[in-house]
Amino acid sequence: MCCRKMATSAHHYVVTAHKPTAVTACVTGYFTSSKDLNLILAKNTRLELYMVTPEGLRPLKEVGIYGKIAVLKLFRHPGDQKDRLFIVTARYNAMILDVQGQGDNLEIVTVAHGNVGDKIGKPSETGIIGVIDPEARVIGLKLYEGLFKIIPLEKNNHELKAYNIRLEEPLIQDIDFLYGCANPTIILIHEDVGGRHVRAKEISLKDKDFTKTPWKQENVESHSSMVIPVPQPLGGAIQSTIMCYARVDSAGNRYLLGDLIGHLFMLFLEREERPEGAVVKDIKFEVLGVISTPECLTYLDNGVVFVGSRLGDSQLIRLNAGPDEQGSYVNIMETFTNLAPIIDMVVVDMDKQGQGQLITCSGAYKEGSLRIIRNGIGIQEHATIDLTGIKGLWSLKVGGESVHDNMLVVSCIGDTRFLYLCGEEVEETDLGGFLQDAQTLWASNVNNGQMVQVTSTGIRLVDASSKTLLSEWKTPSGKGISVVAGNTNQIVCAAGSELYYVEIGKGILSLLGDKMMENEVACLDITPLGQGKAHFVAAGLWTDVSALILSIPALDIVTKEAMRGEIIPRSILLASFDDNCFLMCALGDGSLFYFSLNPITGELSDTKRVTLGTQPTVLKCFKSQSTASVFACSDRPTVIYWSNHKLVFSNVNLREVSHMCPLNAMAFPDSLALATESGLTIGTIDEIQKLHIRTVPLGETPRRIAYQESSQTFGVLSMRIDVMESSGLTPMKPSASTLAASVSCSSSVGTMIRPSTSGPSSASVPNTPLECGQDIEVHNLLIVDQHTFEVLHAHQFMQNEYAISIVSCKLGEDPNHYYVVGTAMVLPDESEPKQGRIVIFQYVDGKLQQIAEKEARGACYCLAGFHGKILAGINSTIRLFEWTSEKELRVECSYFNTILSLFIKFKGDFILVGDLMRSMTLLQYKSMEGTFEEIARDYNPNWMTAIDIIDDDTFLGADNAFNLFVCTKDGGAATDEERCQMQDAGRIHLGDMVNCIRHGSLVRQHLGDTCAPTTGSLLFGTISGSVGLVTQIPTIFYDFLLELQDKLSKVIKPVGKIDHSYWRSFHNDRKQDPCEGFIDGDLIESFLDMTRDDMKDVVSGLMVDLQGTGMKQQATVDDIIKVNLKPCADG
Amino acid sequence: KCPSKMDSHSVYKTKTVGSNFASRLFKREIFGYGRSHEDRKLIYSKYKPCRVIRSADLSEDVSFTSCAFSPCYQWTILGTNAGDVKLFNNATSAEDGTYSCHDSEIYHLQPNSKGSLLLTSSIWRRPLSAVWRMEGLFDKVMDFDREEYIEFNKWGQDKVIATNMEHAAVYDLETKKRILTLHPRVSNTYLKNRATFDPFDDLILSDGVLWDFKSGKEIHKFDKLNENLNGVFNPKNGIEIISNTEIWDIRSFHLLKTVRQLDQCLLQFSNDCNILYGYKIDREETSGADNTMQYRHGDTSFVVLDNYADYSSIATIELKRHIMSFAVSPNDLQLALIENHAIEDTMAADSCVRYYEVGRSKADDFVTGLDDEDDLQSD
Repeated sequence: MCCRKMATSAHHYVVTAHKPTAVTACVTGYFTSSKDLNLILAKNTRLELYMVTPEGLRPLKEVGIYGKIAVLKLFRHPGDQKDRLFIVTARYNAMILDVQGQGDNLEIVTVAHGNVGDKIGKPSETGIIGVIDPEARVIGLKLYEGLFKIIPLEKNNHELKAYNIRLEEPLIQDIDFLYGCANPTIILIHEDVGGRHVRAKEISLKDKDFTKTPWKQENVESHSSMVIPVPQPLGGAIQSTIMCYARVDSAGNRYLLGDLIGHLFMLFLEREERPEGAVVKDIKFEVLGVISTPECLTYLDNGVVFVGSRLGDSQLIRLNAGPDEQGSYVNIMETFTNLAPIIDMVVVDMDKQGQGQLITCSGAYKEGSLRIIRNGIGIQEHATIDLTGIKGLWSLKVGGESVHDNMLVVSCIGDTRFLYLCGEEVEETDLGGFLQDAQTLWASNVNNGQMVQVTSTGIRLVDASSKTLLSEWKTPSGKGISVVAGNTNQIVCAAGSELYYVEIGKGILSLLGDKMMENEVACLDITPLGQGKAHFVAAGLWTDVSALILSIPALDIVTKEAMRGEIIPRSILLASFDDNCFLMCALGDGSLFYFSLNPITGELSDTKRVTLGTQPTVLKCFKSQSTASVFACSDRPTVIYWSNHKLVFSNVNLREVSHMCPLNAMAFPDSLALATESGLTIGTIDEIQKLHIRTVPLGETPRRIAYQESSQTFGVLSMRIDVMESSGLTPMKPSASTLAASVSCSSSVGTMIRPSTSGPSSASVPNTPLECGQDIEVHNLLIVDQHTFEVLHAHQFMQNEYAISIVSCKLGEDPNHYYVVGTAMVLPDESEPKQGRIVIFQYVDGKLQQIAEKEARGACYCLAGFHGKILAGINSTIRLFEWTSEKELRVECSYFNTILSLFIKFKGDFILVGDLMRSMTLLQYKSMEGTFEEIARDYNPNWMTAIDIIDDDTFLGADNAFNLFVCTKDGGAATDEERCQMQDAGRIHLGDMVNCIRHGSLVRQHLGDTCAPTTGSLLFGTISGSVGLVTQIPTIFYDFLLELQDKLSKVIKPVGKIDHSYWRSFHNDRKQDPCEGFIDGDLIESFLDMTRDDMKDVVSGLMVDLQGTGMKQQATVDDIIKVNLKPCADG
Repeated sequence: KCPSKMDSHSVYKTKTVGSNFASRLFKREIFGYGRSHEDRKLIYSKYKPCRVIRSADLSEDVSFTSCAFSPCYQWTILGTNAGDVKLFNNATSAEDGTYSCHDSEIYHLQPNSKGSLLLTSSIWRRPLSAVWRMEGLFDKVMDFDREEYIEFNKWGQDKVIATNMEHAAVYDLETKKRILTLHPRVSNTYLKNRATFDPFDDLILSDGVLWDFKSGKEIHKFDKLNENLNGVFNPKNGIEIISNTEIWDIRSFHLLKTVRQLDQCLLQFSNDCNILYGYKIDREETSGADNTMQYRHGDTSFVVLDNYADYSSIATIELKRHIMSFAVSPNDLQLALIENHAIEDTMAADSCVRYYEVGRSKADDFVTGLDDEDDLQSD
C-alpha cells in the first residue's frame, strides 16, 4: 500500500585519502613462516604485516579487510610450525588466515570463514571479545549480552560454525582462556551491584555448555578490567586494572603492563620450586617509564616492544637494562604518526596557492595535538643567498675530478655571476673561459670533461679542469642567439627564425644542421628520451603558437601541433617517465599543454591542457629519489611526476619560483637551487607522493578549531585535566594552555592560575565543593599562530564549563573579526546541560578581549556565522542572533523541532541541522519575515555524527553506525508531503565514525582535464585517523564506474571471503540496505595495484562512452587508468 | 609499586563517568560510540504532545478503540467501536478511508511489515478476527469465527497465530489452512491469553505454556503468577519471556528478574527493540445480560523501560486520560495513543488519538529559550 521512490539524481564517489592510523590491535608471532617473527597490526579496516628484523620493522604486506577488525589473534594448531591468524569483524565475519609464498608474492589465504552473528541479540556492551584456547581446541567469542559463543577449532574445517552457551554473569569486563586445563576453561571478570567478581568456568564441548565453576573470587578490586592467564607450570591468572599487557617470556614470568595514561610497568612473578610444583612466591612491580597512551602492547624480541596507540602516535621502544637520568627504562626507537582520533578539522589555503591544508584536532589527553596535513611537495630550505633579478640558473662541476657540483652559474640581465660552493660557504668568483659581462643563456658540463656557456654572442666550449676556452661558435649570419637548449652532446640554438644544430666533440663544436623556420623560435629542447643522443628537437614558435617535433640533424618538421589560444609558448620540454614519453609546452599565461609522444616516430597524440599558474612558466627536468620529475617554475611552482601509470601535478610549498636547477654539491647533496622572490634558495625536496604531516603537540585534548585570517591565527578549544590538591586545583602536567604566552580566564575560575573569585559574570553556577584528589576537566580557548603554531594566548573557562563550539566571523556592520565560542555548564548530576554561554572574543594586537557574552539555557553545541549574524544550536533549538549596535546578541528567531541540535551548516539562506537522533532537517531563513521555515526533513532515525551540504539540493550525513548517506530535497515534487520529506538518495557503509566534514580539497583545484569529471569536494575526518573524500560525479560516469566496481568485486578475492556488497551495505540496528548512489573509490583504485593481466580481465566486456558521443566501445586498460580518480584524492 | 588509584584514575574516571550528555558527546568523539544506550535513555525519557485527532470532530458518532501506524508512516490505522477501520493521513490529518470490518469494537489491529495485510480482532459477533488485504482494494482475505485475537508470526509473517481462550492455532496465510493446533494439557487459564511466536518462529507461548512450533510439543509450563497475561518473547534477544512482571529464561526456565512496573501491562516495543513501553490493560468486561460492557477506570500512565540493558525504568509518563491503544511509529520517533474518557453507561466515549513526539519535552521550548523578553516562540 505504500512505497517511496528513491531519488536517483545523486551520484557520489567516496575514497580514502589518508588511511586509518589508529592501532586497534597488535599481535606477534610466526605467521609468514616458521622462522620469521612477524608483527601484525590492525588499523580499523586494515591489516599490516611486518617482519621483525635486527634493523627494525620491515613492512611485508598491507591488506584491506571488508570490515572493522574487532578481534585479532594468532594461534597455533598442535604440531604446526607456524601460527594462523584469527579475525572477527564488527559485523561478525570470522576468518582464519594463513600465508602462502614469500617476499613480494606473499599471499594471504583464507583457510576458514563464516558469519558468526545471530539474527537478533543484544550486542555486548563492553565490546566484542574474542579469545582462543591455548591448546587451540576452541575459539570463544562474546558478541552478545548473556551469550558465549563457541567455535570448535578443527584444522580441516573451512566453514566457521558457532553455537551459543548461556553466560549468566552480567556485565562481563574481560574473558580469557586458562592454561593447562583438561577441558577448555575460561576465566572472566564481571560486575553486578555488589562489585566486580572473578570466576573460572569449564566448558564441556560434548554438552555444549558450561559444566562447572572450578574457582571464583568475589569482590575483587573495583576497577579490575582485565585478566591475564599465566602459562604452565604456574597456571592461574592475574587480574588487573590496566589497559593492556604483553607477555614477555613464554614461561609467563614477566609481563609488561600499560595503563590508561601511558605508564609502562613490568610485572614479575617470582617463582619458587616446591615438590608439588612451582608456585608464585612474590609479585614484583616496577615502573619502566612513559609511553604513548597504549591501546595494545606486544613484546617483539631483545627488549623491543611495540606500543600500539589509538589516541597518539604508536611507538617502537627498547627497554634498557638500567634507568637513564630521568629514571626511565624506555628508549623510543621509532614513532608512527597517528592522526586519530580526528575530532575536528579545518581546510585552509594558508599559502594562497589554491590548495588546501588540513589542520586537525588529533589525539586526546596527553597525546592531544594539532596536525598540519598537506599534499604536495615540501622544500626544506638549507641556505638562502641574497640575489635578485635572476634570469637563469645552472650548476657546474668545475675542476675536472669533482663528482659534486661546486659552481652555480647565475644569469642576470647583462651579466653572469659565478658562485663557488665551498662546503657550506658560497663565494662569488670568476670562471676562466666563461664570459662574465654577458647574460648566460645556457651552461652545462658536457662530454670529454668540457663545459659549455652559451650567450647571445655564441657558444663557448671550455675545458673543465684547466678552465680555458677550447672552441667558440657563432651564428653564420652573425645574428645573436636568442634561444638555446642542449645536452651533454648536442646543442640546438636559434637566432630569430634561424635554427642551428651543433654537436659537441672533443675540443670542437660542429654545425650539423640548420633551418629557417616560418616564425621566430620561442623555446627549444633537446633532452634525449633514452640513452645517448637525442633524436628529436622540440621547438615552440612565435606567432602561430605551435609545438614542433624536428628531426636531427636536418631539423625537418616531423610533427606540428597547434595549441589553442594566442599566448606564445615560453618553455618546451621532452620528458620520459618509465618509457612513457611526453612533450610539454608551457605558455606565457601559466597554462601547460602536454602530449603523448611516440619516441620512434615523433608523433604527438592525446593533447591535454592544465593551468599551473598565471605567469610564464619555465620547465626543468630533475631527479627526485632517482625518479625523473619535471619542475614547473611559476607563481605556483609545481612538480610533475609519474605515479600509478599517469602524470601527477603536485604543488610545492614556495610562493614563486622563476628559475631552478638541480644541484648536487658536497654540502648540499641532492638539492635544488631555486630563484625565488626573496633570493636564491638551496633546498632539498621531500619525498614525492605522500601527505605531509606536521605535528604540534598540545599535551591536552583539542576539541574544535576555527581559522581567522585577519589575525593570522587559529582558535582552538581544548580540554586539560586539573587535580584538586590541598592548595587548590592544579594542572596534572604542563600542556598548551598552561604554557601559553599569556593567560586569561572567565570569572569564577577555580584553578590556581587565578584564585577563585566570584566575578561579575552573570552565570551563576552551583560550585560543587571538590574533594582532594578529584580531577576536573578544564576547558580553554587557545589562540594559535598560523605560521609558528605557538600558543599565543589561553583563555580558561569557568569550572564545569565545557567549550564545545567555535566560529570565526564578522558580525553585522561591525568591521572586526570575532571568535565566537559556545559553552555548556556540565554538571554530573544533570542528564544534559541546562545552561551555557555564547562568548564573543576579539584577538587584536596580541590581546584577547571578551567583547560580549550571552547566556543560553542549554549547551551551545554548534555555531555558524550566518550573514553577519550567529546561528546556534542550543539543546533542542536553533537560534539566530543578531548583533546590535550596542555590541550585544539579540535573538531574532528560533526553531524548536529537534531532539538535540548538534550540527549546523548553511548555504545561502538554507540551513541544515543535524540532530542527535532525528537525522537531518533543512530550514530556510526568511529574511523579510525574520523567521525559519522547515523545508524538508529526513524521517529516518539516524544518529548523526557529522553533516554537510553538498549542493543546494543534496545533503551528506554520517551516522553512529559508521555509514555515510545522502538525502536530497525535491522542491518540484507534486505534493507538500513529498516536498517536506527528504529523499534517500544514496548510502554506503564506511566502517569508521566520521567526526567532521569540511568542504575543501588537498589537491589543487581546476587542473584542467587531468581528473575525471567531478563536482565539489568534501573531506571528512574519522575516529580512526583516516581522511576521506566525497565528490559528485555525473550519471554517465557513475554508471560506468558501477560496472567497473562490479567487475572488480568479482575479480578481487577479498580476504575472509566477505562479500563486497555486504561490506558496503548500509547497516544499523534497525535495518540493512544495499549500498546505492556511492562508488567505493577504494575498490576502484585497487585496480591500479593489479597486474596488467588482471586489469585485462577486469576490462574485458566493459563498454565505455567517455567522450559522451553516445557510442560505447570496448574499454582498454589505459582508459580505466585515465578515468581513475586517484589524483583527485591524494595526488 | 602497584599502579595506585591516583596514577590512573583520571582518564579512567572520565572514561566511565558519563551521566551528562555533553560529557558523553565528548567521549564519543574520542572513543567512538559505546554508550549510545545512555543517550537513548535521555531521548526516551521525554514525550511531547504534538497533534490530536478527536472522534468528536468526525461527522459520525464514533469512538476510537485501537490504533496502528502503517509501516510506510503514511497513515494511522484506527479501529472504532462500530467495527470500522479508518485510515488517517499523517501528513494532513485527513480521513482517507473507512472500511467496515466487524460488527463490534475493534480492539486490536496489526499491519504486516510490508503494509500489504492487516489483522483485526473485535470483541463480539462473529467473525471475531479477520485478515485484510490493503494493497489496492481493501478486502477480506480470511476470517476467524471464534478466534478472539490474532497476530502474525515474527520472522516470516507468512502465518497467523490465533487465540481462542486457552487454545491457539497457527494458520498458513498462503494456503489459508490451519497447520497447528495447541491445547495445553494443564492450562494457566489466563483471562487475556494472547498466543505469540518467538522472534525466530521456532517457539510459541500460549497460556503460559512454551511450545515447539515444528513438533507442536509442549516444552514447559511456566508458573501462573497473574490472572490475565500470558506474556511475550523479548524481541531484542529472543531468549527471555516477559510474562507480566516476570522475566523468564527460556532455556533454563529460571526467573531472571521481576519488573514491578509491568504489572498488568500490555507491551509495545520500539522497532529497534531497545525500548519497551507498557500500558495497563484497560478493559474490564462486565458480563451484563445484554452483552454490553463497561470500561474499568484504567490507569492513566505508560511506563518506558530500557529493553537494551536491564529493564530499568526510563520514565513513567502520566496522562489525564486512560490509554485504550498504543502504537509506535515506524521510525520510533512518534507514539500514537488512543486516550478515552471513561464514561459509564455509554458506548460512545469521548475519544481521541493523541500523538507524542519522542525525545522532546513540553517544557523544552520554554526552558531552552533565553531568559529575555526578545525570545520569540514559534511553536
